[in-house]
Amino acid sequence: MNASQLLVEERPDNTLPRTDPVAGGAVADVACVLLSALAFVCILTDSHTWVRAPAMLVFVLFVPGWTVLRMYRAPATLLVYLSAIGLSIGSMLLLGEILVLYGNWKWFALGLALTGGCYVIGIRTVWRGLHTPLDHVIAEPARTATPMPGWVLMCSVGSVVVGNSVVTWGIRHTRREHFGVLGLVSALSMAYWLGIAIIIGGLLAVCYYGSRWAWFNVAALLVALHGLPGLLEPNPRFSVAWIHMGFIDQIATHGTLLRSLDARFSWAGFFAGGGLLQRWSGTESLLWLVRYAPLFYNAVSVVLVALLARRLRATETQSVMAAAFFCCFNWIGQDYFAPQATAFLMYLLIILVVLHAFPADPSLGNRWMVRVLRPSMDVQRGLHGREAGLALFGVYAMSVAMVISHQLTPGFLVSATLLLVLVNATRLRVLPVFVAVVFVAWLSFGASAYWFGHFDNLTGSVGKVGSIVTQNVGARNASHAFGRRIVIFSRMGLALLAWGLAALSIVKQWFRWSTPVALLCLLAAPFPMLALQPYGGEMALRVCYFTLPAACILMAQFVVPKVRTDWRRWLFIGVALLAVIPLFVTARFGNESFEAFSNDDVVFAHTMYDVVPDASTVFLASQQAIKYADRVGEVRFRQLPKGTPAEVTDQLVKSLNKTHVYIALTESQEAYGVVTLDRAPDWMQKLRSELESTGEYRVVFEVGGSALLELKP
Amino acid sequence: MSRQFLSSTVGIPLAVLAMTMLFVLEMARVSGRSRPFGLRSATVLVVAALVVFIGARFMVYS
Repeated sequence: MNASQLLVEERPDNTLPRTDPVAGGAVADVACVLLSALAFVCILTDSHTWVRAPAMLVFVLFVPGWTVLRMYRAPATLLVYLSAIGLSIGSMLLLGEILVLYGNWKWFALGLALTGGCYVIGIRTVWRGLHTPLDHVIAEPARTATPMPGWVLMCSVGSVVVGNSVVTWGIRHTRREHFGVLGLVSALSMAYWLGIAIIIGGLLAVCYYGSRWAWFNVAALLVALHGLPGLLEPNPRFSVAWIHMGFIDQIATHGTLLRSLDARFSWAGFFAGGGLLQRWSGTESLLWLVRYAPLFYNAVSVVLVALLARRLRATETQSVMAAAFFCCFNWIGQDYFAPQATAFLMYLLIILVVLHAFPADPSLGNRWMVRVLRPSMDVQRGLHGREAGLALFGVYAMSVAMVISHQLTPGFLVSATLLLVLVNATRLRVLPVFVAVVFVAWLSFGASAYWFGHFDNLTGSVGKVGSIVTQNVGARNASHAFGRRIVIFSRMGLALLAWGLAALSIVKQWFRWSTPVALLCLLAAPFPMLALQPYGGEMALRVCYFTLPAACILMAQFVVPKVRTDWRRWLFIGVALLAVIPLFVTARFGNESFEAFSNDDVVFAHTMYDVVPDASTVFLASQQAIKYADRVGEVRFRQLPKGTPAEVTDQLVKSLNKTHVYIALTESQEAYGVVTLDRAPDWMQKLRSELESTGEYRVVFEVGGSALLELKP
Repeated sequence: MSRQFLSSTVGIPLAVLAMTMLFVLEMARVSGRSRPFGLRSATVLVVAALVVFIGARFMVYS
């Protein structure tokens, strides 16, 4: 018997035959090769087939990262699949930014080079897989099967099918426009709530028996909760998402950054990457992504949260429930088509890879720290050698992509990784310094247009925590309407509930000398950001968002038993979740009356762009309108000044300077005034009448309750 | 430092150098190989020079 035979003979039963294509990643390898070839042909021939856009989307979201990882023989685990998504998105952001800054926006050549390169490398990987000797293919150790009643699978599938059908029926019987001051919660049909209850009931029953089919219910819950506006509303929602779509279109069409127009062009990685996707997919804009972008971001986040939970000593059931909690507590609304949502995914992925690949044992850290924190022992081995180098390169590359794409997330990453280093939860030491250096360097050289001449204004708030919190909380609580107060209090209630349960979880584990220090770091890390900048009154929201993954895992560790226990505890969890869902819908979709766009709003925006000439200025009564969705450099938007109609007209006349001046009054702006500023329902009609009575305006066109007025030259 | 020097592009290669050295330093740590002699000191010096340069830019142009 020779050596190779010995190896085969002595290998335990977990050896997979090479012909198992799914577990070995061969299917994904082949799919990536085919996608690369398809993408190459589509870009080369500029074909207009329907398959081009979805194929290009899947390509940019997955193929480059997967190709690189497989080139270095990464195994086909869930973490590697997610890392491929992160690396692909990161590489798009980096390539887009480099191309727009230094490459004269040669998207065609880059597209051919990237798809062609992925094809060639992918073919090599597939070829190597075919020629891999049988005894080199080793599977993960087989899971020990736990005895499970046959009805568990039926329960999961049945609850998902029935629940989602009832949810769909409920959505079809919901009034689809003109939501009240409470937003969606007051408009939804009872059937919707019944469907959610069925899905949650199935989730808990399946979790009770510890089955992986619970993921099926989590996915259904995710779609029912975070896909709700996409399924219900006639148009993609949220004005900022439309702005981002317009910024992407600006880069895709002209290949230039309008840094003087908006600070976001100084962190343009996301927009440049989107510009590449728009050109490669051959579409006029990326509006087709806006509607279901929250679903994608939340789906990836949920899997990352579950993997993080598994890494940090949660049981499988606890990790599933942590994912479900993330669905039910993520009311913050930062998951729309935006750089921060993309950067948040990268943040989570970087933290996950750092803790998976470069762990350290916190119980062997500083003696004083160990005595105070009472950390549990961490026996994770992590990666070494070439694999560690590849993981480190991926982490550093994603950090750079994050820095050039969003101004705030690097701060959260520095804070989190610094704490992880301090408590010895990772063996990395340089990462926080690296991210900080890249951030400061980008701010200094790449984003100089943003701070030149007014650096003091940006840093003036540093340390003024009270003022920043007041700006973040008080300003958002301006309305005195009862319905609006309910929305605001439901948001605060959900945030405090999550933090409170997470704190209780930490205290409980501290008394048992097994404090989850990594989770404690991730929970505490975002709060110092409150001392830096109000960020337009949004810093508290971002802090809430970044604490949520750790809070959800800690909550799951607190309320979900590690072993199967009394069913009454699960009943209690179910009742609590059912109570949280209406709060979530109130908090998450409480702004829907002005964040959703009616058909009139969309028709108005398209007509406006048709009739308004270049170098025009359009004044808005509030910023809750479709703006900068097209011709970003040519049509500017401003806030309508305050004052009497005569005073407003005087100020507009001053800005008339060789440009056309318009006032756009739309339904979404009207709803914003009613809901958040306590204005009368007909305030916009009155404003319009008063403006027209000055005789200085002419009505260009009207759509429903919206109108475009032009200041007479 | 003069405005002309601060507005020159010398900072960009300095930043790239600092980032590269930080990456190499970490790579040497995690791969278990012995660290090249003087790498840590050189990295600290380069990062310090970059921070001083950027700080001066912030002060001059704010």
